[in-house]
This record gives sequence, structure tokens and C-alpha cells, in this order.
Amino acid sequence: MENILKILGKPDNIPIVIAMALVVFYIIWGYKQARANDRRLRANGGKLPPPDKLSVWPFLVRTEFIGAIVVMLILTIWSIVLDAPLE
Amino acid sequence: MSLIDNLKKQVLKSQVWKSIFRHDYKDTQRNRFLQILDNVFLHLHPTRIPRHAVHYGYTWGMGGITFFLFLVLTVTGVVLMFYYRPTAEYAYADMLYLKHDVPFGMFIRNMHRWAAHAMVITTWLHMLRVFMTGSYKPPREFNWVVGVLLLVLTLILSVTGYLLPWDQLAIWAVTVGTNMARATPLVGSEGPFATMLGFRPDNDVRFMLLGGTIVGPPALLRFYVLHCIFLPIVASVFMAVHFWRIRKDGNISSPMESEWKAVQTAGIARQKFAAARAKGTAGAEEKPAPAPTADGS
Repeated sequence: MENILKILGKPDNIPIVIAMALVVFYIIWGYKQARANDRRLRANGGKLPPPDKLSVWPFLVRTEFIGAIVVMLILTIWSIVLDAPLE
Repeated sequence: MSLIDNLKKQVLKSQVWKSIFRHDYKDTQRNRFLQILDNVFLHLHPTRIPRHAVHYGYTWGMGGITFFLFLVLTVTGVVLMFYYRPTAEYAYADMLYLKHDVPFGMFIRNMHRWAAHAMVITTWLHMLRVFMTGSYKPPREFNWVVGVLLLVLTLILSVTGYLLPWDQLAIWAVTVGTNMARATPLVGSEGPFATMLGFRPDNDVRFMLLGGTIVGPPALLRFYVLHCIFLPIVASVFMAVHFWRIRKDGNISSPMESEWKAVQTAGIARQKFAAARAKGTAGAEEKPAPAPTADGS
């Protein structure tokens, strides 16, 4: 166990651990969305109405801006805390 | 009116100002559209999108995050290029120099490395989302293929970049990878049918990749040129095609899109015919198709 944790804790292996967790998380979330969609379809007799529309400015641009800030924050903290290996 | 008000009015009404700022910024529907249409970066987007396009739960934002990480990698990569020389003599020494002597050198190197790992992960997650929402189905099937090519380019960028530190990790990882290339059927010297085609260790696909029979200085230079020049240009071209196809194929997909689009299209055709008939200009050939009967005829 100690050996496994040591290997998993190496800086270059941490993205692999994160990737495994994210794939499981997003598959579960995706299936939850799919089931919610099936419920909507059943409630509407097998059909869905065309979606209503929003302006890209400001709604989508705001979402993208916040997303970019969050990604930069995660990258910055990750880059300060963990050093890339040089063997 | 005060002096400042007068000055402000003069500036805002001047031709110089109007040539730079083409519209005002009052929150009107027209200005919301112009903010997108009149901007070289933002006009990648349409002016209006379906409501679910802003929901993180539907899109996951992974495509946008991947592109953002590509931009981060480009910027950090250019900064690293100021300090790095792709020769066997200097590569590792320059990495030590970045680590110990260059201000924020290690931070920039770390950001480049972790952004590269993150980009590979987000590309896969984007692919997963596109699959889960059926956004590979017609009319988006060609864009799916372009996306797969972009995935392959991302992975090749990762492999070529991995060699550049020229440390033990880099050299042996690329040795293992290129030894696998040696086993490729037909074009690898140790793969099936290689001897039939005359491939040897000094002229097979591994030799072409490495510029030699071992992972040496020619391999480092070759991978550097691929990583910094050729692959980013090719990836940029494919990204441009990818974004163009997203717009042409109907923007973000929607649940049950083909169903409601067919209904919508039929509805529009019927409205046009009714309008033409009211004007007295509809001919026999313009009649919309009759609604299907219960037995499907």
C-alpha cells in the first residue's frame, strides 16, 4: 500500500489519478443527465420543443470568462505546489 | 456645461473615437448582437444560443477549456524557448538553469507541463461529452473526424514535448515509444513483412522518427521542430476547421434536435406557402408535402 501511494504521489502520475477520477465522475454525471432527458421526453409524449434562445453577450461570454479564471487559478496553484520532474 | 463634459462630448463624437469604437455600450439587444458580430475573437460565436448551451451540466465546457489550455501552452512555450537550446550539450543544462537561476523559471516550466497533461485529459473528456450527447451524428459526423485528428495531434505534441528536457525520464520514455514503432507491420524493421519490403533498422519508420538508430541529438532537434513549429501550425489549422464546422453544422447540439428541427422546417415551409397563396402567387409545384397518414403513406 505504501508503495502504491508513493507511486501515485509522484508529480507526473498525479494527472493520471485525476484523469481516472474525472472520467468516472463525468460518466456518472452524463448518465444522470441522460435519465433526466428521458424523463422529459416521457413527460412530453416522446417529443421535445425547440429550446428557447439566449444572447451570447453577456451570458455565454460571462460563463467562458469565469471558466478561464477558474482554469488559470487551478493551473497556477498546481504549478506552485508541484514541481515537474527532472531526473 | 463644464469643461470636462465638453471635452468628453468632443472626444466621443470625434472620427478617431468612432473609427475605433463602432457602437456604444448601452445595454440594448442591438448592442448585444454588435458586441459579438463586431469583435474579431467573439464573432466565432453566433449572436444567440439555446439556453442549455450555457449550462455546464450539458456542455461540460471541455472544448473551450482545451482551447484555452492550448493558448496557455503557446504562451508558456514561447517563454521557455527564450532559455532552451535543443542540443544534447545544452538541453539538460538549460533545464537546470530554468529551475535554479531564471526568475519564475520553474513556475513557467511547471505551468507548461501541467497544462499539457490537463489538455490531454480535457480533450478526452470533450470527446466523451460529444459522444454522450450524440453530437457526432449527422450533420456533425465530419467534425467528429476532425476532432479525432485533433486528439491524435494533441497526443503527438505530448510525446514530442516529453523528450525536450533530455533527462532520464525523457530519453527512456521515447526509447520505449519508438521501439514500439519498430514493431509496426510493413514499415517497422522488426514488424511483420518488413524483410519483404527491405526495411532495416537504418531505413524504417523508427529511423525516420528519430533521424537515427538511437534516441540521440538528431532526435532531439527533430522533436523540437515538430513540437514547436510544425505540429502547432497543423493543430491550429485543424482547430480553425473544427470551429468553422461547429458554426456550419448548427452550433451546439440539442436533445432530440433532428425531431424538432424537422417539425420547425415543415412549419416554416407551410407558413411560406400560406403567405404565397394569400398573395395569389403560389403555383401547383410550390405545394408543401401532405402530412403523412396513419398507415405511413
